[in-house]
Order: sequence, then C-alpha cells, then structure tokens
Amino acid sequence: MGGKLVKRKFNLYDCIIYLLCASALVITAFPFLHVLSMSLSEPSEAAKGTVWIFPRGFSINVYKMLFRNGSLWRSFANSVFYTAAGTSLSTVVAAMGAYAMSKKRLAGKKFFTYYIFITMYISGGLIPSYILINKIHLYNTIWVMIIPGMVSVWNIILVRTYFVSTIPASLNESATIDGANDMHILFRIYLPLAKPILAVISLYTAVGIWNSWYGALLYLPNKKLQPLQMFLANVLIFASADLKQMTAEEAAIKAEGMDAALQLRYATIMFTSIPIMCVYPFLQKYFVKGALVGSLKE
Amino acid sequence: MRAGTEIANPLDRRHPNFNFSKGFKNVIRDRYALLLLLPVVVHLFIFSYIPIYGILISFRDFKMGDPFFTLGSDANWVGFKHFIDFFQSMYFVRIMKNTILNSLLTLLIGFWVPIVFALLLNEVTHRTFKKTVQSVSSLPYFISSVVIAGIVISFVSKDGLVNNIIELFGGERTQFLNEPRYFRVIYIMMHIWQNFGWSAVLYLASISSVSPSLYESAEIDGANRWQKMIHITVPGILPTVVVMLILAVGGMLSSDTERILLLYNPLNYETSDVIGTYIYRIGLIKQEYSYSAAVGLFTNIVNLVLLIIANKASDRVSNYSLW
Repeated sequence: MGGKLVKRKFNLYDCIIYLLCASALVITAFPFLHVLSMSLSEPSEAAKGTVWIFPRGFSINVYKMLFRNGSLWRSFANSVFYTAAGTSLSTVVAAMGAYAMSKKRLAGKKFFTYYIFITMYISGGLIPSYILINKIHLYNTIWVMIIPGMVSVWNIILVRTYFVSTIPASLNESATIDGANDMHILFRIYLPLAKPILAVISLYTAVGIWNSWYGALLYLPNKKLQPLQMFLANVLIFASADLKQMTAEEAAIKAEGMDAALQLRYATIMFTSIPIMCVYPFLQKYFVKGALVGSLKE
Repeated sequence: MRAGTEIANPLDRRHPNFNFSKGFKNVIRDRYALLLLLPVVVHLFIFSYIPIYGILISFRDFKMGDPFFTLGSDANWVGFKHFIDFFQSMYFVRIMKNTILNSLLTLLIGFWVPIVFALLLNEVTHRTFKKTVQSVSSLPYFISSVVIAGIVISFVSKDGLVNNIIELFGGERTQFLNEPRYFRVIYIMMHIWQNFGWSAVLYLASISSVSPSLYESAEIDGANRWQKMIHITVPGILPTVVVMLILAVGGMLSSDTERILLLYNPLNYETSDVIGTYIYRIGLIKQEYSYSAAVGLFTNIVNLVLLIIANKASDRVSNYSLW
C-alpha cells in the first residue's frame, strides 16, 4: 500500500520480506514439482529415491498405464455429470429462493427467514441423515450425489444480498405495475443482471462438488457410479480393489525389478491436479470476489 | 354486493376483522414468489428438518428396519442410555482429547500464519512477484483433500520424500503414519499447507479495503512502515480476523473429519481418532445407529454452545458478532 505512494530504497527489511514470501512460494510449489518429476522419471531412478525437483531419465509409462484404467475414465465421466447437474440445479434453486427472500414484502417472510437460518446452526448430524437417505431410497443411486446437496443456504444469502444491494427495488415495482409476475421479473430482469454473482456461486459450487468424496463414501458404494475423487481415495488412500486392477500391469513392471506403485500414485495425483493448476490462475479473481461478497453478508 | 356479504357475515374470511384473510390475500398476491421459494422450503424440510427430528433415535434402540417417525411404544425408548454408555466408554476420553487437541493446536499454530503472511505480502511492491506468490500459495486450497492427503501419505511413506531426506542426513527410515506420536504434526502441517495461502489472499483483500487516506495522513505524521502496519493495517483487518476466529472456535468439535479419515489408520487411532471418525466407524461400519446418533447430538450441542460463547466474547471485545 505505502509503496505506491513513495518510492523507497530497497533495504534490509525488503530483503527479508521478499525472502520469506519466496520461501512460501517454494514450500507450496515444491511438493507438486517433486510429484511431477517422480511420475516422469525412469522407474529405476524413481525407486532409488534420488529424484528431487527434476526428473531423472524420462518415461511416461506410468501415465500410459494410468490411462488404460477404465475405472479412472468412468469415474471421471461420473464426476463431470455430477458437477454439471449439481451446479446448475443448485444455482437455479438458490437464485429462485434468493429472489423470493429479496422481496420487500413477502407473505410469511419472517417465518421463512427463521426457517432457513435455523438450518445453518442446527443439524441432525450424520446418522439421522444417513437413515433418511436410506429410507427414501436415495442410497446408492446417482441422485444421492445431486439432490441432498442441492440447496446451499450460504448461496441463497449471497445471491439475496446481491439482489438487494445492486438491483433497485423500483425496478421490481415498475415491472409489477406493467403486469409482470415474479417469475417474469426473476428470469427476465433479475437473472441477467445478476450474472456476476451467479458465476461466482456456480464456480464455488462446481469446485465443491468436483472435490467432494465424503458423500460417495457414505452413500454410494457402487463403484460404477462413484465420482473421480472417490476413485482417487480408493487408489491413493484406502489402497483397495481399484489398485489391484492395476497390479496386473504393475506385476509386469515388478518382474523387471522395479516398483511402480509410488510412481503410479504420483501420476494419478498429477493427472487430476494439472487441469486445476492450469485453470486456477485465471479464475482466482472470481474466487476472491466470491469470498468478498461472502464477507459482506447482510 | 361483495361489501354487503362481508358485513353480513363476520365469519367470512374476507371480512376486514378476520385477520387470516389479510394473510391469505398476501399469499395469493405473492403466489409466484412463494412458488419460487418452494423448492428451498421442501428441500430444507426433507434434508434438514427431518434429520433434526431424527435426532430422537439417539433416545431409542433403532435398527434399519424400524419405523423412523414413530413416537409410540414400538420405538424402543431407552432414555439416556446411549449417552451414559458413551461417557463411560473407554473411547470417550481418547476421542475428546484428540478432537480438542487437534483443533486447538491447529488453531494455535495455524491461525496466525496466514495473517503474518498477508502482512508480509502487503509490503511486497513488485506486482508480478506478489501475484505469483498469491496464486501459487493459494492453489492447494482448491485441490481436493483426497489428492493432498495422497501427496502427504506418499511423502511420509517409507520410500517417500521425507524418508529420502532423512536418509540423506544419515537417519533411519520410519513409517511415520504408523506411529501415533507423529500423527498430529503431519495433520497440522497438512492443514496449514493447504490453507494458509488462501486465507492470506482473503486477509489481503480485506487489507486492500483499508482507506489509502489513512496511510497518507500517517505518512505526513511521520509514521514508519512498522507503525503503519501496527496502527492501520492490523486494526483494519481485525473484523475479518475475529470472524475467522469465531468460526474456527465454533467448529472446534467438528474438527475436519474428512481429512482425518483420509490420513488415519488403526495403528495411529490413539492420537488420530476424533469424534467425527468415531461416529463414522461406530455408526456406519458397525451400524450402531442410536449410539452414534447420541454421540453426534452431544457434539452438536457442545459446538453450538461454543459458537454462542465465541460470538458473545467477540461481541464484547470487538463489537463484532455473527448475528
């Protein structure tokens, strides 16, 4: 801040500050670099534990092995579907609810405000929800990945705040006088004006759904329907069946005296994070924007 | 004609003295808006309110085939049995201790890191450098916990990076995650590593909303960099800091169940098992629904109380509260 006003000399303090910030950069970037270079190294070199920042030798065999895994692609496709469906539904529902709550006068507004806010602070917890999901037969269906998470009170608050603070109430009134009903007003007037906030909440929702795995662990034992993150959890963390599917390939490599398991894990990590790394720098400002709107709530 | 009937029959819903009629008219007036709100109302009823009602199973002996909504004698009421069982079980002390220690240490060690980092970054004048540091350091927040935990587990595994470094300096290879005493360190480091950059970006954003004129007048008064930071920047971000702190304290007992589930294993339960993971294991794996629902209810109550206390405290200290 101050720096913009007066051009200072670069002194010792600046040195320390830049050094500390650079070390933060290294601390976050190094693990990814290491994972990347491990996955690209010659298996024999990787097994020796001498790979640090740059790959030693070059081999994309583990990636080839990874891409041949059918479960990876299927879970990837599942995730794309869950994210697209979940995000669009959740955004539309949030916008609809937010519009109703943004109206100056709404029958039962006080009741609905309490009704919505209470759920932010009181919840039944894991077990009652689990039993409910079973009782209404959502358990182990694709819907369990979409419907229970469809309403986010947080998103409703964000959109409502945006409506109230950026769209003048007189616009709503004059449209009403012209004979437009609330449906028309929302979809023809409010939504086009609210594109920025809708983009922000869709972005957050999409990242949230894309990264989630816990719901699948709880409610979706069917491996064919599981999202990518659950597949990853099985491969990287729980080391279960999915990994065994790979071990046929692995066995071939092991026969040559090398252990590809670690490299395969690293390749999996890289494959799933590289897309985010490429996109994130361009989206960062929208994420920050969203977080800021969030801190201005009410 | 209409006016006539209203006077003639005071029980008519359209009678001006009939209060309900006004409400009903409003419902008609707002019918489309209410229709738009309907999905939210129905969804919250099913997925929030029914589970809240479902808390009652913690006072029953519930099995999957049993009726869910019943209040009658077929509900197998057992009173506070499950709560007493939980308080007396050998796990109670262990999981309470782990939950509180994990959250408290994460808070104590991790909370100030992004604040200091943001203050440092704020002093950086080279824009490209500043932007790069921000983008790279906040990236891990958006990468899934599964992947992050996958990296951590690989790094601390016997043939992983950490052991390679240890061996380089002549140490012995250790299977870190199989030893309870290393779990907390690993968990806290992972938490900080994944979150500090993004939290710092948020703090930076709130720093940038501090009015530049404050800095200008401080400069005229001869304030140095350090004084400007302490007397202008820090008070400027205090509300954000307080909100973050309230939320952290309020969620103390929820302590990141997902991340611990990814990191822990039976060999380190001694230091890793927390309330959330315990509920998951007992409830969903062993299927003792009522008992684990009781544990969940206990946690939720403590969490709510903590949140209210934290909020009150911050209201008193900084006049800033969540509600």
